[in-house]
Amino acid sequence: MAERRIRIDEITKIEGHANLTVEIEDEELKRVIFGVHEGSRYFEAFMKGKSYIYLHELAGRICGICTVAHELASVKAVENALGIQVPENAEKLRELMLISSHIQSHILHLYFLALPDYMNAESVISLTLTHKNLVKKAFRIKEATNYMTSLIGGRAVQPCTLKVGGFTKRISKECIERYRKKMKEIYPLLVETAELFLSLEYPPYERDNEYLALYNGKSIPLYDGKIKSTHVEFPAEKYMEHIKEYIVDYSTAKRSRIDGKDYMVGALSRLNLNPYLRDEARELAESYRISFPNNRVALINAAQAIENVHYALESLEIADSTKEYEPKKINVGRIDGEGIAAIEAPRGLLIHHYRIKKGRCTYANIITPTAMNTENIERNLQGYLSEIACESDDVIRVEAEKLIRAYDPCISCSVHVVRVK
Amino acid sequence: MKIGIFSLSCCEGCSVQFLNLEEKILDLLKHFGIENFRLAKEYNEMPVDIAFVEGTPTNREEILKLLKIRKDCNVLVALGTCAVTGGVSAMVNTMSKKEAMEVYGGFPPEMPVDPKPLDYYVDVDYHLYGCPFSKEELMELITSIILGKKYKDKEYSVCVECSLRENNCLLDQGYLCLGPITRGGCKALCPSNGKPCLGCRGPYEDANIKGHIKVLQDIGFSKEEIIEALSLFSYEKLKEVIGWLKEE
Repeated sequence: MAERRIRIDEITKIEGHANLTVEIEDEELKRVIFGVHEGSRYFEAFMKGKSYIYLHELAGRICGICTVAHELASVKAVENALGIQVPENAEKLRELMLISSHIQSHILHLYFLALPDYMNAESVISLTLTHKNLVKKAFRIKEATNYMTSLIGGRAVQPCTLKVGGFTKRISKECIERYRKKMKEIYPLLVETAELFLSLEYPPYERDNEYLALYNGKSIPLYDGKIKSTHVEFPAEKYMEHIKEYIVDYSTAKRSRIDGKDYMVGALSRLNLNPYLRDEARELAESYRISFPNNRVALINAAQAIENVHYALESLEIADSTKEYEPKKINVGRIDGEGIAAIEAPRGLLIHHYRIKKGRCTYANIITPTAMNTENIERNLQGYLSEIACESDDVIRVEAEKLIRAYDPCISCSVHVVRVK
Repeated sequence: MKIGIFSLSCCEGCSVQFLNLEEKILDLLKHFGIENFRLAKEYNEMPVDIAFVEGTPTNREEILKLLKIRKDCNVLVALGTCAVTGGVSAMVNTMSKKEAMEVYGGFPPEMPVDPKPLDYYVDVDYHLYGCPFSKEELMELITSIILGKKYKDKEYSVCVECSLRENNCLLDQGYLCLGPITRGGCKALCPSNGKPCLGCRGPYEDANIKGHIKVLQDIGFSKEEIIEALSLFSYEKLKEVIGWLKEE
């Protein structure tokens, strides 16, 4: 009997620390374990007792890659809890900030983490020797989108202008115009990026997954909407009735199911559930014979690249209609309440939920996209690797990593939050 | 020269900030080989000449990893607030072990280790302050190393830089701002954006912390509010004065 055990102690080119064990017996897949061994940081514990004005500052520090999404979800949950109205132009500016940070995150993932797998390269650093112009293009887009985020957020990593009720600073018309101009400038590069990532040869594996994303019936929402899965639709406030978290003994990250099933969140889920891609983006995908909904898991990469084109165009429209923002004194009417907010982080749905009493947090629950995806990653690894179990260890290792990286997992996010009792 | 970028428990925002050097990385690669960077590389090698370490150990395995990095590098740089002061994670040290463990129903998945600054465990050659660190300071440090010059910490407060930018003082407007005791070098980014300084760069050498506490109390902030603000990023560096304030 031929038994094989393939182990990757530290999966590289993902955010955070995770490992993989694959056991194969007589060319048949027996077990796949996707484990997380990142240390816990007890955010849940120290958020308790903190003033509501600091919660989004702390939330941003859960993850340095999707810091904008965490800050926004957190500040929105607090605003919901305290019944604070945010002016329309502040909402639009937040959406613009979210879009530029999404594109930045997608570019980082696509070029720096995923692409080397498809170009037989060790890393983006070795790509600088063989494909210098490609790497330069990635840096140009990253720099531009970071600049756009900081126009509104003060800086790209841990933005410093958000506050409960709006922003801390004036955001002028010129500032919004600079954002628009920059987005227009990089738009052709985003199209080229999409062309590249639509043309790669991805693992063929398909599965009829349960998908989950925000939904509003007219666009592909990032900042606001109901939660919709393949089978059910509900307002964000009802998330606890459907989404259940659990723990397994071989991992420090929490996992989650919807109505008893594993599910996928992220770019592919957003496009699968929201058939509202802008014509330019949809036609571009179709010219490479790719359309959505689509069950091919590794197409998450292509979905991200198509999203970049879609959201760039969306942002130009939003910027056109956004008025200058002038900070005002926020009237906090009440200092007790409970609030839930769901927004789309680059990697998928993100939920922040707080209870606030006398201005201080008494309960925090945060469910991150990677915690949502973890079981789905493992299931799809089982599915894909059993199809290729007769291949060599090296092939299995490479293909497994391709599939894991497609999700752009963010382990930092997934282990740093556990519910306050 | 070989460099490595290492990550202990944290948000990895400082690794991202490193990649945010963008095309400057291509210039860096003319002088350095990036030999170890798990976020971006498949093959990671030791030893390295300069080790940049973000985050702070939160379990035994990570303490051992840090000790090994120290052994296998010439210059160790604490990259960002978590590495310099323990960062936001260190707020868990304000609670009793029992309280923290209750989060896991009394049985945590592993024995937690108090988040501490890296220099609690090993010698640190240079500190890059801030959450996240400043890219300009990183370039200054790297240039100094290439030229064989000494790199010096900024031994003045955020207030100095804030005044140079002619901002309206947020303390005067009644905000709880930690600018007067926090190390400069960020060009007063937050106050310039209308947000009070949260002290993410930690206290500088000559900071008159007790004096500033008095100022804040005179404005009308409660002891609890001041302790909360001081604990956000620098609990491990300020716990003595926080203890003193509690007793006051």
